[in-house]
Amino acid sequence: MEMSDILIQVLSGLTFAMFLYLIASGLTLILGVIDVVNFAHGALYMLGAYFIYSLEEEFGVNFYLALILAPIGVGLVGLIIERFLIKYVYKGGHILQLLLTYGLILVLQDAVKIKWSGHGQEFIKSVSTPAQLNGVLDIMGHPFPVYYIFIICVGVAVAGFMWWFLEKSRWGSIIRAGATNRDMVNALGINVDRFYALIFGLGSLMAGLGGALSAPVRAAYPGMGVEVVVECFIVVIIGGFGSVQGALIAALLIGQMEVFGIMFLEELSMVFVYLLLLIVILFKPAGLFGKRIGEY
Amino acid sequence: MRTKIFVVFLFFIGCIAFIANPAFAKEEPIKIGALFVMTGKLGGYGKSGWQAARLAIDEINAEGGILGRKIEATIEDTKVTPEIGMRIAKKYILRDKVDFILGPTASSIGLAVSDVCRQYKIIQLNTQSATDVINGEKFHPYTFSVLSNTIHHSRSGAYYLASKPYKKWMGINPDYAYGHSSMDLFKEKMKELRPDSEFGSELWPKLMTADFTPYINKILNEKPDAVWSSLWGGDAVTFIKQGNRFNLFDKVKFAFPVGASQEVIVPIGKAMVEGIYMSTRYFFNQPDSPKNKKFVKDYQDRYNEYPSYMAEETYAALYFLKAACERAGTIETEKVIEAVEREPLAWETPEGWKIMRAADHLVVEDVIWGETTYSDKYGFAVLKNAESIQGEQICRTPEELKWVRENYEKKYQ
Repeated sequence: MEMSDILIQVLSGLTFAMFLYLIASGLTLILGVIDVVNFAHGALYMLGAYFIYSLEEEFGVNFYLALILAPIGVGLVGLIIERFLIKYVYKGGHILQLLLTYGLILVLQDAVKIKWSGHGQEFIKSVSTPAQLNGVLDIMGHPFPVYYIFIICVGVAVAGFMWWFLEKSRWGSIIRAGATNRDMVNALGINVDRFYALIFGLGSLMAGLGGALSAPVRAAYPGMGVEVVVECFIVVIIGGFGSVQGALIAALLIGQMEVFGIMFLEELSMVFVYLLLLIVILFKPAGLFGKRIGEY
Repeated sequence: MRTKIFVVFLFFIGCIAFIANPAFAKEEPIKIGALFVMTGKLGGYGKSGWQAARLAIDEINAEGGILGRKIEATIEDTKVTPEIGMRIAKKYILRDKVDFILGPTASSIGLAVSDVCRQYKIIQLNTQSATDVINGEKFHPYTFSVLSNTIHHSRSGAYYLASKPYKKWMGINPDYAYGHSSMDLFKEKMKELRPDSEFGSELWPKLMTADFTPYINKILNEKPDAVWSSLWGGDAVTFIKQGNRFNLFDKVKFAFPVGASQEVIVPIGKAMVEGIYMSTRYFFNQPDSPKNKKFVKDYQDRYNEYPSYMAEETYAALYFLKAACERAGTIETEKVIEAVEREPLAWETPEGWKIMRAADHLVVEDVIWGETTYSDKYGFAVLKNAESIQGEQICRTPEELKWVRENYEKKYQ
């Protein structure tokens, strides 16, 4: 085992963590601030992948532009879903929310199947990247894809922006306040209705970005969100409901655990993540960065 | 108010579904319950299978059905979960009273569904689960496998690759029944043909792994001459796409026993590296027979795509059913089994004549191996330097069959 092998695995884990972070940060915002268990979050991630496929491969839009447009599109879909469906189950409790969002998964999945995977179409869509992202770097004698570095850069940029947005901007302080004490935010005269829509839209946009960014690596297919959403819930629980920073730390941890788990103890690689989850639930039930517990 | 409207809406949907229920049809049709995977990364197999099944059923019905009875089929998605597969199979048998079970996709579900069919004495036409265990250790008369399975692929792979200059092998296979059988059977045959071959690490990603990067790094670190990989469907697509980003296939030779399927080569398209060894159960441009040409044309006209091997195997399954029932003169389970076992049943399919063996209810068919090469004409890779490994050569001999079954019984009793 050489240093370079370890470095490559660390970078691979980082790439993996960035996907988890992008998807889980939206999930944690929606869960922590609006208190909606959004199982359809994975379906929005799937839409992100299909939107970038459609923009780039069907309409010939430039990849970088498509990478911006696709998440915005998913954010808009999120807004529509919030205004017409989710809004009505805010007070319905988690069971009703689960039922509704699970239904949404089926609807979105079948919609995608009809539009993109039906007759005469391949079931799985792959998305190509521009030539400058297709290269392979040489890191101490090991190949490493340029696109993975790009993913890490985008992830870091988004994490930086989210930090600024949540810690420094006015909206950010409302969101943080909402995650800690929703009733107080309401009492202070903030238009909670519009505020919730914004959060849901933002969360959806993040899922869409995750999907769009992952499409060239993981491809797009109906049901891709179902696989990813379970891992993201783990990230959210470990990081703490409503904590975007917590989601980042948890995603980084899980990313490295998965990669090194596979490297050293492949048969048990799945176990480590759940073990971490168990330890967090036992000793810090609110999650690493969660502030609020007991309401549930 | 809105909830009420929603409930009323649901009620109407329910009514429509009820009226549209096939049980209301006048004649007594032959009912088939199909189970495939229709969503997720592996859903392409289900899509192909169900398309082909409908094509075959419509053809058979247009010519008067089986023994004068029309065929009727329904489909449900197993979501690659054995529990769901078992539940659907039981529902088909107990509630819908189907006559035959078609499918399912993936060996873990295949074993589960096969067990249900044994229990309720219903014939299963196994079209999409390729573990040899169904025909070997856990054989029972109610399952007929109409697709070439792991034993065909692994043994043919060993015959094909033994003459090539690779000594140091690695494996990356999905972590369930099929993947393990594939690796073990390949290793066994390869060591027999090439005693000098060495087998290094065996990697076992779970089915539907999103990210193969850590595995790719491991292969690049170990630097084998070649890798045996029974990854299939969407898993093969993402593995190859991700491997391309590391130039993996320029550095290491790969053999994919179920790689040359439309579900893999079409999504990868131009990105397929030249010279990867792949095999297939059937490739639409072979053989050059009227039967195959007609099948490909009808399939293309209806679905606007080329039939994959899963499409062909599933299509063939319906014609097997027709041939078997016609020989028996009835659709009664025991009589159909007796008729097929009386003497090997041969029936004509797009890829040629297939034979159903009585001893293990496994089809005898050839396996095609070749190297990938991009085709401008089709817009995806096809196989060059293709070789066909004969079916008889790669099936279990009666002695081998006896051996696996006896040892299985010793192990579990």
